[in-house]
Amino acid sequence: MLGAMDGPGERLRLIEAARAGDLAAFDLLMRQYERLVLTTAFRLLGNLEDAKHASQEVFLRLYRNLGKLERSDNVSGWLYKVTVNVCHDQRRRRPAQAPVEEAENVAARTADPQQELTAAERRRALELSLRLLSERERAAVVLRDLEGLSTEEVARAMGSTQATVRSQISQARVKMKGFLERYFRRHV
Amino acid sequence: MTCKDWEERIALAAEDDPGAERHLAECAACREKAAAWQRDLNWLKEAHREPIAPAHYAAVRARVLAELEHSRRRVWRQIWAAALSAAAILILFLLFPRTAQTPATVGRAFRPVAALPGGAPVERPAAARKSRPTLARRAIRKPAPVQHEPLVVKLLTDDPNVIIYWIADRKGE
Repeated sequence: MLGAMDGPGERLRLIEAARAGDLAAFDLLMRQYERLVLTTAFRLLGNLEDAKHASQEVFLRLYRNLGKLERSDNVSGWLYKVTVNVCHDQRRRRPAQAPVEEAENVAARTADPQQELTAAERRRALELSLRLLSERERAAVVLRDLEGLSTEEVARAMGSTQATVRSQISQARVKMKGFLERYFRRHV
Repeated sequence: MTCKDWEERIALAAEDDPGAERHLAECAACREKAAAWQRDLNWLKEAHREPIAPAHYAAVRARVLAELEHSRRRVWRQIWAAALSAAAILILFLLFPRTAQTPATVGRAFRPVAALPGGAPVERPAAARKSRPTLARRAIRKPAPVQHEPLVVKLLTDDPNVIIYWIADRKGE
């Protein structure tokens, strides 16, 4: 059912209806973009409850800006940008439950040196390495590597330049690599 | 450039960077490093491929719709409150007509001033009385200057046939 609504014409119709006060139309619009918003927020914040709060705020902003989006053909780009901003605000207001600096200590306590590295353990190590990054670096990696956006799209979503984004991504990858090497050297 | 210098550029191996690609072709250690990065990236993507349960999406949608309904009700409540207030004010006006001074009563307030003995009648344009009642109040507080008659002093002497009249003007000269 939703697949049939992916076209720009159908999306425009939904935006117009939602703008006229049709909440059912807005519900359909949310269904189209909920994966994009919630998974991005989850990847940026690292906590599902916080991500749900952030997504709620993003969709409320979407509702308030329907008029602006009627003329835009890049709703996804707008949503990425707002999601990054909302997550940034949320992090400033409510710092992450497990501080970033403790990530290495957490990894050291929980990994079993005798055990062969399982896929789950490796995933956990990668997740921890993401937490070590600065907010901008993490956003760049999430949008570029996990969401699959182009460098240009990432720059637009982060209100930055392509050169800055490239630098942030490369620095982030180097940091992650360094963390993983230390992690595995300690535990393998 | 050393391998350390190339590190950040190789980290962006996915980006088109002919210089980094040339270095990778020549340096086995950096090739190994780039392959490890790619492997980690694939692991990271794999780790984040796990879908979020549909119930979480539904919860977000429900919260958003509830918030929108709530704000819509709040707007309607404000509209009703404003309409009821306006209606109440209108009813009060109809039931208790205004008793404040009208232009006519302002005019009456002028009359005693205009009738001061010896004073010039104070006249104000009708339009001024209507539009600026404060002028009327100012006029009441400051009465018009009174025109004094010449002062006559009659001096009697011992001789009944001699009477001296001293006539002084307003300034006492």
